[in-house]
Amino acid sequence: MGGGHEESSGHGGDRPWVYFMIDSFFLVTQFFVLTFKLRIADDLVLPHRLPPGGQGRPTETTTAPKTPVGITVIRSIENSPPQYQMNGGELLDERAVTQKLGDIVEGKNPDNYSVRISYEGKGVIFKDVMPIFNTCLKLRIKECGLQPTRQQSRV
Amino acid sequence: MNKVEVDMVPLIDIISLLLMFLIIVGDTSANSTSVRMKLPSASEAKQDWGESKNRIVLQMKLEDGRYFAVFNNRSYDMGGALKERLAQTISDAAGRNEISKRDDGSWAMPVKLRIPEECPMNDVEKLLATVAGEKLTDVQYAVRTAN
Repeated sequence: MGGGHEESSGHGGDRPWVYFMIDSFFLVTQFFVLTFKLRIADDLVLPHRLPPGGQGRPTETTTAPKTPVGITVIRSIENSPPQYQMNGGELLDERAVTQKLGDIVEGKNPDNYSVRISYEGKGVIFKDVMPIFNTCLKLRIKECGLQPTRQQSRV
Repeated sequence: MNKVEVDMVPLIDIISLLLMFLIIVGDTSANSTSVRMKLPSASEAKQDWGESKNRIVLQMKLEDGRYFAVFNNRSYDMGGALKERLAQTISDAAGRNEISKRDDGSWAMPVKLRIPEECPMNDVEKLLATVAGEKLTDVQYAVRTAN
């Protein structure tokens, strides 16, 4: 009569499978955590290129000038939807301005266009400007950036 | 009388596995998504596979009515403090030859910006100006898919 201890030798004793199971469980769990948590935790991204120094100037000097497209984001009343004005024209909603931008570039080389986004009013938030960045990426307009505001002493 | 012996090997084994598990999980969750926010949506969003190990991740966080930039879990005032921190990071990476300077003077070091959708554009512009001022031009805006 006696316990299993007399027969135990080293790792596991008379039930080594318990320890293998625990080890395997943790190793598999860590594998899945590392593999999938890193993927799930990462956001989706929208790539964008800033002009160096943030001056709002084109990054390269080209002999052929690009057609400027100025879009102003306006939110005159805080909780009202944003409005967009393209090249000083009529006020448009998000859908209309993205459609209009697409119409301008359609059938032409998007590298010939430079989109500059400005905003008016303290109520303009990042969400209002994102559709313009998104549309520029969709239309492959590489030059798309913020026009520095006059309040910025150094951009 | 039977002598009771504690088998130390499996105990050490399990404790080390537990420690590794907690360290890895804690570390990966802390760094890149430590600030909870609602991201703007974009239909052209691309999957982010964490392209470069030298990528900087900047997050905007609202504290006491003001937005601060969070970098490696520390908050920085946009402008002076953040500018210095970015310059230091670039300098360290360049010193280790991990990044190079392009012909246009910009650094080949991507920057991921996690900006909440409700962040005022004034603050976003300050952040972009600081980033661009340090010649970091490859920017990735963190977004969610448009429904």
